[in-house]
Amino acid sequence: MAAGPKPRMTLSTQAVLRALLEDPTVDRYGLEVSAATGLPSGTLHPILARLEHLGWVESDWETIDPMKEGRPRRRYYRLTADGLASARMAMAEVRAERSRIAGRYRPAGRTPLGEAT
Amino acid sequence: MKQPQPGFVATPTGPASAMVFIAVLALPSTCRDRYRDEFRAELCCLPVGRQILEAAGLLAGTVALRHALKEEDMSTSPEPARHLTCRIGRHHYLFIDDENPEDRRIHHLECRDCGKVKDPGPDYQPTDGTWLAKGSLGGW
Repeated sequence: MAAGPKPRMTLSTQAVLRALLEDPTVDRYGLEVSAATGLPSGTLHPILARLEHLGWVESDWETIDPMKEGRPRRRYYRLTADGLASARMAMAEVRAERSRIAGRYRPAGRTPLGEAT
Repeated sequence: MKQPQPGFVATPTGPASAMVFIAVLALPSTCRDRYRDEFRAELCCLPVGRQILEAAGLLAGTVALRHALKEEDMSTSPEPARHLTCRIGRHHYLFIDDENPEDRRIHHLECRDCGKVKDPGPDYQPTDGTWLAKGSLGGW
């Protein structure tokens, strides 16, 4: 289970993981992830490379006939089984950390938005 | 979007292709083909203006990508990082005793930073006092 090395959970990395976690069964190519996250390709590919190296993400060439489709084969990315668990855990940690920090600066007597009083 | 003609594979425009070509040059040689094909495949389906913008983004991010790929290489490579002067061939050689009990004057040159061993060469005439025993290098 997910106890291996973790990437630095920057906002960009979180955005990429969020996009991949949206529907883990769907493979996405770079531009699709870029569109989903709003990150430029130049920022996205280093993050994908790091995640791939950690084993969180795997990638494969599309299996099409380029002559038939009229375009080159794309490289599709998806979360691995381990990556899925690790990414969910990492995102949960980020959310917990964020609410802990938010709680520190919340005025006394106020409840966080969305929580029942 | 136009329907693709049979037997015709779309390619990015000239400027976008050139930028991809330059961007992948900075990457480790083992990854160049993969990223060139990947970037070209992504760009070719975009409108011309967007192709150039995306290619410029790739070009700007190539240093970060190279860094990410190099991290992988370093973590999988058994070799430790080499000292900068050693990378450019400027080693700091020291005379090291071979600890041969039969001839105490036999020794070799060894870089103090990377450990590269160099033969002093056939012309070298060992003389007493020009070499140092390994144990005596501590204060240097």
